[in-house]
Amino acid sequence: MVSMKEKSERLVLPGDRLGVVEEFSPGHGAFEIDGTVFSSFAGLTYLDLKSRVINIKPLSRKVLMPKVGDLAICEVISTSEKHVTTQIIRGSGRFFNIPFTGVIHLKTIGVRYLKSLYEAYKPRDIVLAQIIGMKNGFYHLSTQGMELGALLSYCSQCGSNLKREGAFMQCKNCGNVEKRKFSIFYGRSDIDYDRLRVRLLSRRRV
Amino acid sequence: MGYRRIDGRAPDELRPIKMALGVLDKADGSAYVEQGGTKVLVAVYGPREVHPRHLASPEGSIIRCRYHMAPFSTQERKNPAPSRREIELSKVIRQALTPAMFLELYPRTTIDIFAEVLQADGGTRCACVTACSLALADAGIPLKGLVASCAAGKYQDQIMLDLNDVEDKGCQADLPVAWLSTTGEITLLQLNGLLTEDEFREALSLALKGCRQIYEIQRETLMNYYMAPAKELVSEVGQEGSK
Repeated sequence: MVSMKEKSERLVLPGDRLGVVEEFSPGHGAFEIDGTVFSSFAGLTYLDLKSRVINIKPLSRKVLMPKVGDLAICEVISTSEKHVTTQIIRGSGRFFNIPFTGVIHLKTIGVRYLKSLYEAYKPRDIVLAQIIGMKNGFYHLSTQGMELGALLSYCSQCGSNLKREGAFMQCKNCGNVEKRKFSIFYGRSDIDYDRLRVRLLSRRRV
Repeated sequence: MGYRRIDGRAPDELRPIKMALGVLDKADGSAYVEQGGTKVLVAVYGPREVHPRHLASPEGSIIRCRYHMAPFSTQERKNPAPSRREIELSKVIRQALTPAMFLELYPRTTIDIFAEVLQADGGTRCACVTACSLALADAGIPLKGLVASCAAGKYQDQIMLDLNDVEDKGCQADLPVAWLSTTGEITLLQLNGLLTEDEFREALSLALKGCRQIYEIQRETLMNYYMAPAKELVSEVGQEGSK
């Protein structure tokens, strides 16, 4: 029997023939044409001997796209009557070179009563949100729950960082008091995204 | 000694080829190809969000390709505005690469390809296709196979491979071909000038022979580029196993 380690040592390129479907099925990074299995990445082959599936671990850059259920860090671009437009700058555990557009609808902000959406988020805020869907070409985000919400906000009077004071935000520079839907991680950078993601997924059906 | 060309090559001989990967830091994938005096640089971005948004397709990613010749790439200054020829070549390069890609994987996104000719010495569209396919592989975009491209032509009543600028300008016919390695599909076939049926067959088989040689060089370049990270990864796996 071939050991897994031995099999993993094979470097393959896009379009390299790996074998036939009778030997194994194509998994991640592999595809089949007329019963022959080919690689679609430059990477190392990993043959799962139990399920007889061959996967390619890419050595090239990994293509990243926001996925439903993932946590996203986004920057608020604009707010309108019913939704907040954001740019997703981080998702799937890595930063995107080019941000994707995400929308937080009034319903999924997670605050019971709002006079205006400006009480939840303002442009330039950095928000931790969860991707709940992909519709009409936009990623739909949710900030329901105490873990999700603003991570960093700026004073709308003077532009310096806001500090959390109980249920409100206060500017240390000019003393201006504002409202935000903030996360319990507000102002922190040591967030364990993987654990938080699992916790949020177990709580709600996405 | 048989027939020798202006630059001393045999009729079925390619020009010396140099390829490099990952030459640009800001791009998601990049490649540089030198084929004799022809020098091209390709950058790939994506899959990324499409702007303007109405171009996006829910069925899959779209490819946008820009072939451009630098003003200094030719003997006389070339106007940097996209010419009719460049717009056409952008289209044929895009069509040569599309069969090699799994576009349905990334709906509502775009893959942007920028091919810049730094020095033109004949066969720039073929060099661009070759370089684009390498840059796509470097960007980690799943591919059905590598696309290799090469031209054949008729110059002074002789069918020959990989025409250079002098031959290209005075040729009776020019036949650029792109070839997808996995399925053997021909993804680009253009013919400029006149060839008889027999000449066409000869030129096509010669061009495909050139494509196979270029494919081998593409493979070698990718292998050399990924050999070091592959060894590192394998040794890491080995260390974990021994722990």
